[in-house]
Amino acid sequence: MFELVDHTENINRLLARYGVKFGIYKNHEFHEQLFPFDPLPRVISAEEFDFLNRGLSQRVNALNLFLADVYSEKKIIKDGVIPADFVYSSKGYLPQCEKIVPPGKIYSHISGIDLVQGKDKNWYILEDNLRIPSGASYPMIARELTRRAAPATFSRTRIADNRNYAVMLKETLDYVNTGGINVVLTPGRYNAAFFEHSYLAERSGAVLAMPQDLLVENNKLYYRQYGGRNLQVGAVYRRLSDEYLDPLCFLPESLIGVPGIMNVYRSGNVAIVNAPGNGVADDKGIYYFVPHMIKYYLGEEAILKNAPTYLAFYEKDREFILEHLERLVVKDVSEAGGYGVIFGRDLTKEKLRELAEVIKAEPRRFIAQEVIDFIDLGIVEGDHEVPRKADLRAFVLAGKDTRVWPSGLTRFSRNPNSFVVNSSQGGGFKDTWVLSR
Amino acid sequence: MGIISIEKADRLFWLGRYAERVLTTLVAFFDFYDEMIDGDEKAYRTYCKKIAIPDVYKSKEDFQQKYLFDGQNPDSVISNMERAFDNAVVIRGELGTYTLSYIQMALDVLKGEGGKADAPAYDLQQVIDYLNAFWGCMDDQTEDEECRNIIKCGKYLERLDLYMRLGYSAKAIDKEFSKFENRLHRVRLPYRRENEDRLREIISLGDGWREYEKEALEALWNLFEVI
Amino acid sequence: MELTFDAPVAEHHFAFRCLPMTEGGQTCYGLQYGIEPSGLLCEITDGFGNRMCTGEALDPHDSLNLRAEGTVYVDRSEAVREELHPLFLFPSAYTAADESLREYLRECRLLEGKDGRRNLPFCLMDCLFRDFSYVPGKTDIHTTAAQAWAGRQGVCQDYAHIFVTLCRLAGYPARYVAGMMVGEGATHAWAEVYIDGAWMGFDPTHNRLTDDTYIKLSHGRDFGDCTIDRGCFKGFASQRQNIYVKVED
Repeated sequence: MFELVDHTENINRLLARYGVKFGIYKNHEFHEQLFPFDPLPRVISAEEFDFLNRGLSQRVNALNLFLADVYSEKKIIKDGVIPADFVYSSKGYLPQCEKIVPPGKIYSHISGIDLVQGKDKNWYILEDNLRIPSGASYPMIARELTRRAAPATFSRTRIADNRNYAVMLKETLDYVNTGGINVVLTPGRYNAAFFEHSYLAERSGAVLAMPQDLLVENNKLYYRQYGGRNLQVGAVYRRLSDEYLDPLCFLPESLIGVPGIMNVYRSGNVAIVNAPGNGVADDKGIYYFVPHMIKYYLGEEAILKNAPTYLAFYEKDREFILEHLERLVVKDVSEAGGYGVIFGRDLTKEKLRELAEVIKAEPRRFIAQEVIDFIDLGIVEGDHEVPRKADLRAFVLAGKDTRVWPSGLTRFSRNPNSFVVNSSQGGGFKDTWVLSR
Repeated sequence: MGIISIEKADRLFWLGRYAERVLTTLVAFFDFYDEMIDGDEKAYRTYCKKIAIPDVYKSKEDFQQKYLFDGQNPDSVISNMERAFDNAVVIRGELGTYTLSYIQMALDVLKGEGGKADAPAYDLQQVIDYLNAFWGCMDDQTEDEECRNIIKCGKYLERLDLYMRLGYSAKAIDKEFSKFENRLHRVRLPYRRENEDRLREIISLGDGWREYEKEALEALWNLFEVI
Repeated sequence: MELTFDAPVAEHHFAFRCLPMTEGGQTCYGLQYGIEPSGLLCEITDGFGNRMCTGEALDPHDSLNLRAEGTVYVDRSEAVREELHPLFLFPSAYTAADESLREYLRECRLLEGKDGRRNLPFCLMDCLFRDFSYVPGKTDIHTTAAQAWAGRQGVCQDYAHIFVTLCRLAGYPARYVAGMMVGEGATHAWAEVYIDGAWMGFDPTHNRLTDDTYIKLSHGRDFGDCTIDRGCFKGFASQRQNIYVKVED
């Protein structure tokens, strides 16, 4: 595996050749940069993957049942398992989605579940991403290119091929398709994940669509072809967020939405992947309740653990948080992408006091977690291998059945002292190998 | 038949135009550059005039630098290459990642060479190589015929425009025109038949076409109704 | 209802919530409606149970007319029990309370049960009617409850928003209602409070409970969920909305 290091330069050249980039906005200007790639993969054994597969599928199944419940009967609320507050005052709950039954009854078709492995070898769930988790394209193309640059490594080691992601994605879209073509809806060229949108469309055989390419007519969704003949769309893998999706339903000022698409969806004439309104289930506050959901809906114990979490909303937890603020990590439930994450140990006494006041004033807004001492992975820096914090985003696809992609996006922090691995904050990525038996 | 939106048809067409503009102007640039090596220091002025770009350059060196590599200069080769890339990147699905990579690499060479090329005709040979590879690959790998035809409509329209301006032989122009018509008749882009007829008439005059140069160019520019 | 534009627009997509609903003590039947210029309309029930007409007029046009006629039978003499959606307990975009509204609620509470007033919502309606003035033109459709309260003046939408905000703040589930009243004129807005397992209509603008002369078009968290007309179109034009309502007893 270490011979991969010798091929680093070749692999990076290939990544540049294929434009493997992500965009960021700096001073309101759009820049594209290469996503720093580290050649040393994260390796997961077949047994370990089996375990993860069971745990992640279980989790996503429960989350899908929860979403269906929250937008219809609300049994879990009535039975007092989750306080109504955490659902119906959440920004992610969209009353516009109430009583919609999505095709195939699936809400979260593509879930990105972030995990870390602790030094105790246990895996912990950090976060569920049920809206538009991105990142699958990077390990997919990195694998393709690494195989080209270092074929010998791959013929010696039996590694599950991860390039089947496109097939899995296509099967998921086909399963919920209501009749018509599959499209990947991108907000446009200047979106941070544009590379991924266009790459996944190409690989899955879906048509890449800009918002202006789609049109609602007579309660059906169409793709406008040049020359005048419109084609019906049966499934939209949309990569723009709920609030911009339909100016007739959400933000009226959205210029990148498709007017009327929500009504088409409500009428069952198109599938939207992932379903609008999923934000209610991947809220950092709801995270706390996922093990309860698993028990409630599936009658099972959660296979994968949450990081120990305290809800400021509960008085007992709040007291605990305020007492141990300096050792906890505090997260603002309304923020995403590594923003709104505060490590108590990094704060001065005064800042800690300020934080305590904010938590007391708005308890519903915060959760606090024990800092998990997660294992380091080696990355190549110059001629050395150095340890860095890394997490794993596993992709779980729900269609006819629920399956975990035998790979994932391993993101690492390039800063030795940082636990924050997000690409928007300068992190890099590795391929994730799942060994075959 | 593939699925092409209005937006994508537009992107395909303009990709064809810009990729061709970079290729043909680079080749033409090398010819003028060759003249400037030991002779006419101001040959670039004629060049600017011919392809109708403003002559904003102070000297031969200034021209060489700014015409090739200055991203702020809207008429520079690199600006045209950027535009080719901007169009190409949104039609990855139609072109394929494999084909698209040649556009990416051509752009990367121009970006990388900026400011240090003292032998541009040598250093930029790679841009020409990648663009030729792009055209070959596009022909070979782009499954959808309609896509290929739209790109080529853009390509040959641009080529005709530049060949006419640069004073290529009537024979060369006639050859490109028939390639252009061949594609034009196979796409669903709306165009003005009367312009096509007039162009054919003028080009069939052989070397005599030059008398009607302005009219020919105008007929060409206004050939398409929307794009 | 008529929408007119000062320049032609195209690709006009719309969603109208302007048809009487069938719910609670209200039944709508024999409704006939049509739209000019384009004919195709689709009827959908939104997430709140409101009746919504959607469609599109793709060709250029400078006006759009929706005409609806029918009979609504209203009998609110008996409370209709229904399940509560927990959503109506929480503040929304237009109904977030500020310190001034919180203070006002404390003042109102002091009067609860006095002078023959029944429970708190009645008391709130009384107080609001006394302390807030009906003055058109001081607020617009974007004004929140807190903003309207700061000026102490506004129209029925503002009365309803402030009333709903105060009720929710006090722990009473409440929702915003858009509708019509018997007579000729524009639309009206009021509120409903969930009391003893049923929704009860309060019209704080007129300081009275709603009766059989009120016809509901829609309800939701606030005005944002009950817009009569939501649309978007291509074209540089500004839109004028005229609504003609005629309700005969």
